[in-house]
Amino acid sequence: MAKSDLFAEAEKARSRRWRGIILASMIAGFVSGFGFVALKQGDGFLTGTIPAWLGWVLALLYLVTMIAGSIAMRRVADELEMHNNLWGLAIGASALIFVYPPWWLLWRGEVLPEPTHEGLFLLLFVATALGYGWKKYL
Amino acid sequence: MDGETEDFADVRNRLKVLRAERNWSQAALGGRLGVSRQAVNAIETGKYDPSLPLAFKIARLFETPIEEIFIDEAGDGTASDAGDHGGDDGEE
Repeated sequence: MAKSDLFAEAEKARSRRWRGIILASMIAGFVSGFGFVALKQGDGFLTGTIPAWLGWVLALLYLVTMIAGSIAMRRVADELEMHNNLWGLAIGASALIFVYPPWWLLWRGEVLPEPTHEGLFLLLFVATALGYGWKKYL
Repeated sequence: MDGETEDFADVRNRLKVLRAERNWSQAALGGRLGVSRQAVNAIETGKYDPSLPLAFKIARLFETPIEEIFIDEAGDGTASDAGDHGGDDGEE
């Protein structure tokens, strides 16, 4: 195999490792998400309680996935990927900073319902994903 | 934000030409530099300006001065031009 091909193969192997990390993180997210939804109780969406042990298991699964995923990502990602991630996080944080205070104030003014944890996390997550996608694909 | 985008647009580079001269694919160049094929493509198309360490790495790989690979279109690209600006700032 030519030397140039070896370098290309090394790059492709790095890309495969990157996709593997993303896939593993997504699977862990789906497992914890489905586990939570399947065992939830209560009348409305995410309004019930879960057993303490399940809370611990899901919280630990989330933390382990996030920490291990972040370390693995940092090892594999190049500077462009880190740049895209930084943009995504900056846009996610900006969305939270712009939306949460007005929402909270309007709730205190009895105009809007109380801000929800899930709604705010969803906002952060979606805005981060959109920011990342914007820098990566557009 | 717009200003930053304009600054990025002022820098062009000869990376694609240098890579083509060596008959390397983007992935092969990325492998040499320790970055992804997507990063090489983003630099070549001017979508992303590399960090200084990566720019120096590129210069070392192609054995070419960094200013002959990355061209600042905002100035005339000469060292004396940059020096003149520095002198003016110092006196004021």
